[in-house]
Amino acid sequence: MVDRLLDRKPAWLAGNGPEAPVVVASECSLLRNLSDFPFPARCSEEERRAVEDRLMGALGSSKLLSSGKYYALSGSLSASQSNGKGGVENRFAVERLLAERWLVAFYEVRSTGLRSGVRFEAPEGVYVADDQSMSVMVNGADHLCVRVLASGMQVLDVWARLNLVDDTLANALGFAFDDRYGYFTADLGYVGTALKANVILHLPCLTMAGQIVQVAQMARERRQLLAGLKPAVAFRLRTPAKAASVQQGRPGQEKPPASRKSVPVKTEVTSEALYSDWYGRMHGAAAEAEGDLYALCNTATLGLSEEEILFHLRQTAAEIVAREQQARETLQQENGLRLDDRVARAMGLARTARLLEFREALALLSSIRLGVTAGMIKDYSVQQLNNLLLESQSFHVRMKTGEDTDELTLGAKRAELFRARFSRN
Amino acid sequence: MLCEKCHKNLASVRYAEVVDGKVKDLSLCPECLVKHQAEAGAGFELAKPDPVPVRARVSPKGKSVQEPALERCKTCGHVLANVLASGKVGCSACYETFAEQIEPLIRGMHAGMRHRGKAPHVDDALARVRADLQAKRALLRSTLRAENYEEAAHLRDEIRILEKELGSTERDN
Repeated sequence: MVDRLLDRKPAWLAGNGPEAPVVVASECSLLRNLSDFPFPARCSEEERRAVEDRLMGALGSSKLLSSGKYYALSGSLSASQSNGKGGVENRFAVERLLAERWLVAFYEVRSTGLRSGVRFEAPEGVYVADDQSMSVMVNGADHLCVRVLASGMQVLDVWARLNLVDDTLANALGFAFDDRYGYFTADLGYVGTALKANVILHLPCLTMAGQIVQVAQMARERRQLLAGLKPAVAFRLRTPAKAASVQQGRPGQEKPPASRKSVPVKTEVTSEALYSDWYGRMHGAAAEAEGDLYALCNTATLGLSEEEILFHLRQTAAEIVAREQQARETLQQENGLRLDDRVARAMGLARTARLLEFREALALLSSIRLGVTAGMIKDYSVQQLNNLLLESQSFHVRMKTGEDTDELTLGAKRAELFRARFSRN
Repeated sequence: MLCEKCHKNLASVRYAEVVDGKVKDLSLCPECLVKHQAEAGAGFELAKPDPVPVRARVSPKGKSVQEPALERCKTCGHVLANVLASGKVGCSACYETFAEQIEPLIRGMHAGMRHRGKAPHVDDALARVRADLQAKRALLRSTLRAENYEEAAHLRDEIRILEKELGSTERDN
């Protein structure tokens, strides 16, 4: 199951879309809830299973299931249903892989009381299309989250495809909707169209020129948000078997109850992957971006039609792209040597480094991408860089070295990937 | 500040009277205010000061009156206080139940208070054309504002076609 996912590269990493030198990808997501159930947080276990079954039925009848696959994720651990051969570890592996490919989006859970805090949860299941450019997540903060991704600046095409999938599902499922509030969502911030459109931008020269804050302010004035992508905290799953074996051997102590046993413990490892969550709260402020990667998205969903939201977003994105191009030209003319130096240094490190942290890998890829798109380096394609970005994320590396790999080995393997890609022979 | 008459109780009322064209300002406690007004034979009445503190009014005679924040949605049982704290509701019915309280939150987050855009299952073809027309007109306005005349011309043509379609259907009916 994991191998099948690993073998295919998501279509949206092709790096061939419009404005590809600056726009990495376009992504649109829709939230939908079934009209006859409360939202997932207030659903019983049985109700959540019923929602899942209804979705499976809808996917089956719409023939979507024949061009993709449904995976249960580790969020549905307490479910008695077993997910084929997989097991808990496998579900976790699938979840992390898909999260690093942005086909699974996390959602924020705030708990109050003694153990108050914010944590991010994955939805309970996800349908992924074969080309890995479309996914339907089930039982996250809302019953469904449908997401479509495409390479480059293709917001309108992405929306057209998303709209089609939405219509297909709406016929079979019946969504919660009313004339005044539009599509109901669990979060008041997304009611209305429940559409969130994201454009992923690579803005190294605006960053160097110190204009990012200004650009972010421009977006804010238009009810949009320019967030900085940054590595998020990754987790490792301590399996129930291991957790139980730790407790064994204490005399006189009862065995942990069966229900406790089936809940594995997620332990924090380190920050080493670019995840996405629906709210963009895993991203940082514009000034915190790593690898000069930014996400521009709409913040208002009520009072604007889908077309208006996308129109305004395209407008802002086009302006930012133009400013970045301008900044690149200015920098090349006025400070060409510095730019050359930045790219050449990055190439040198990529070819020789023996240990690479994810953050450092991001920075190197940013400089090399700048070199490739500005025509300073000829031998590599944007697609190769995109694939390398994907593969240098924590879980993708772990799939090659084993899940329990320590930081040092992980860094060594990452450096090896870079050396293999950029070596002169 | 203490009452300027009895110099014992806390002054909670400011009382001003005009005597011979001069304004006299007094800070009084509720009791002295009543006495003072009786003595002066006041020609106007002040709203009676309420002797019961606001907080005590919540539970008169020991019975607890439900605070608005503890109000629950009848469909899913979600509590208003949670909605206000997290910005999240429990079910679609919460939007109706807490309509009044969530309105300011929604107003702050969005561009308007009414849904524009896609609706599921629009069986009535005419309604779909109308909705489409409405959306396109709004889009045309913002296109013009952004001085994107090429797209605006394109939109205007589309609007004309839709208007013709709507006109002919309505005539047929």
